[in-house]
Amino acid sequence: MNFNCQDALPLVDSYLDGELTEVRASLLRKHLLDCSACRTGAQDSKALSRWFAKPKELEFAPPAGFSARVARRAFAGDVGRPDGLTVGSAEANHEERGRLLQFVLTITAAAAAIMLVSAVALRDQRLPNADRLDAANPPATAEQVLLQLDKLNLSEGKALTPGAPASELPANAAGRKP
Amino acid sequence: MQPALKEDVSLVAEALAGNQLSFQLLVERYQDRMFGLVRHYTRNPVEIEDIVQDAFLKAFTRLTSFQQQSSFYTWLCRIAINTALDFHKRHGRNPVTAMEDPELAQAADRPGRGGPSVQAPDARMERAEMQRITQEVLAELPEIFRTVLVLREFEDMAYQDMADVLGISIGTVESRLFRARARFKEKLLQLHPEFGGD
Repeated sequence: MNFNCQDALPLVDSYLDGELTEVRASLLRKHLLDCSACRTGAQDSKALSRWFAKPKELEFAPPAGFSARVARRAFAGDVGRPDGLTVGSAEANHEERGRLLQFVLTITAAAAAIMLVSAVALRDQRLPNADRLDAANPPATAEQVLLQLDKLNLSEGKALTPGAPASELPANAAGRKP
Repeated sequence: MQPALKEDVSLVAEALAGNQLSFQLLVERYQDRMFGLVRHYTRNPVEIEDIVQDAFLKAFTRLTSFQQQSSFYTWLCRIAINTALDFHKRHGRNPVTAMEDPELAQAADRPGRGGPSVQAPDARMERAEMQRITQEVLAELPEIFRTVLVLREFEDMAYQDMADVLGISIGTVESRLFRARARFKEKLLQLHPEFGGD
């Protein structure tokens, strides 16, 4: 198995950290001998690592009596501040996932309830009732709409018995030309 | 089992049995390293002391959950880092930038570090000045990158221990560290172009 540069470069750091298995390390060494670009990359990594020098002296030292104070507080029942954000904590991640799941379930239940109520309300609503629905040629203007309504009123008026008083006729059935 | 590790286990057992002095010895043993670790998360001495104290108090309440699969220090590190992040969160500082979460980034986008090379710090440069620059650059990195660099470069942790502290796989440690170093280099050259090697 041969390494190309894409395989080799991510391994250079692990190699310098002494974390590569001997098999991978030997493959990488072989590649570095042949590839000047990756050798430059390895030298760059070495140069970078020199920026992480440890301080010779402790920069922030614990105050005198720190350990005794902490032990005393611990045995007195002081538990420190409550937890919040945690990284890499399996329990915390699990808790976070639980909260998210609960939120999603609540939202889903609310949406289902709204849909159920809407469905019942729509079923009970009175639907339009007509002999014929014709939306193919809707009236173009307000004037035409009024003329059609007058025609309808007149036809309904005629349908009434001949001896019926005028008050039973539709209010606008008379006095307007069709 | 290494002698130091064995002693830690004994001290933990004694502390659990109610021996306050044993817990005090554990604190004494690791307090310097804890202060050294937490200084990467805040430069304020009072805050560092608060965080370390909190971490030890939390560790005490969870002593029964110490599994002995990892070292006591590794276990303690995990608590201290979480305590430091909690502290930042409580104070309205958010060290985790979701937009920069490397887990969301496509590793394939950047197969190699590439780019301009960086100079090693000049041998004449004062150690304190070099550390100031390193801390300045680290402070600019998202927490997720800063933590892996701190654990590896300053705490000398093996990848397996880092994986235990962070609760991730060794493969993820490897790739996260690779990207963290790339980010460190980018930021160093951005803040201090005079250290560019090209």
